[in-house]
Amino acid sequence: MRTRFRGSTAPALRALPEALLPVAGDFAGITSDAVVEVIETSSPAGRMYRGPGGQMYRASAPGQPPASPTGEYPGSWGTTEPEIRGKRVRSSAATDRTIGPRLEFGDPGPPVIAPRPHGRPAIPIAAERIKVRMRELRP
Amino acid sequence: MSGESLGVGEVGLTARLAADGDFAALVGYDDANQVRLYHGYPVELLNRDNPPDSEFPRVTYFRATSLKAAKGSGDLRIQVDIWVVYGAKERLEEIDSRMLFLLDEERWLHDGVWLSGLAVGGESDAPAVRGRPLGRRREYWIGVN
Repeated sequence: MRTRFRGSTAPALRALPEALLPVAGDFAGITSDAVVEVIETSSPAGRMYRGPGGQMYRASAPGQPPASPTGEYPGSWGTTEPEIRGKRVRSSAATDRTIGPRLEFGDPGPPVIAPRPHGRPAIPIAAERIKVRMRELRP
Repeated sequence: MSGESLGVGEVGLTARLAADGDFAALVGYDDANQVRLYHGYPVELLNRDNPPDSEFPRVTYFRATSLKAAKGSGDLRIQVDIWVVYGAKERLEEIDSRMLFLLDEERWLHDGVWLSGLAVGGESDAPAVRGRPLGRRREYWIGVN
């Protein structure tokens, strides 16, 4: 499409952050999906435990993404409502489970939890996918 | 949710989206006079359609700047920020011309970070870029798609 520019584009500039809101939400969704993928594609190499239903499962080893025998934790990941914050349009992939930061960064306890990073490993994965999506946004 | 941001230089949790993830956006009006957001607009066309003495459109640059893992009291999040920089002149002031090198037709290097789709313009004392002076009186909009 040929673009014509007429007069001041100030109104269009003011509209830009709002136009980017769904884009930010989309990017956050990509990021949340990447976190879930990191967790669910991991092969736990920790100790065997008896789970809540009596079934045995293998926990993650320190440094691995957390094991998720029930899928409850990865299922808690989602996105926040995109918002305009000054010159930034922000959305986040997030979980409200208090175990989230304890798993990601570890917890001196008690009980002591060694870090099970899963958000940070998802960042480069999400970044690559967002780059692809950004290219797709082009006219 | 409030949280402690763990950003660049702290524990290195931020992954910048640079390289091909950066691009220019152009805001204008389409034939129906509707506001449109154009991604990666080919600036060469812009220059062709808008001679230097015409009223140039404003160019806005934005990019998905960062993904940042942050922890709060009870949550874990990865913030996705898209930065919006209004107007090319302001952007040009942000970018020190000493950091701006023309590497080839479609690549710029800024402080070690690849930029693609950067569009800058406006009055400037910046050195000649792509053989065109960014003079005080003549405006050129330069960018790559």
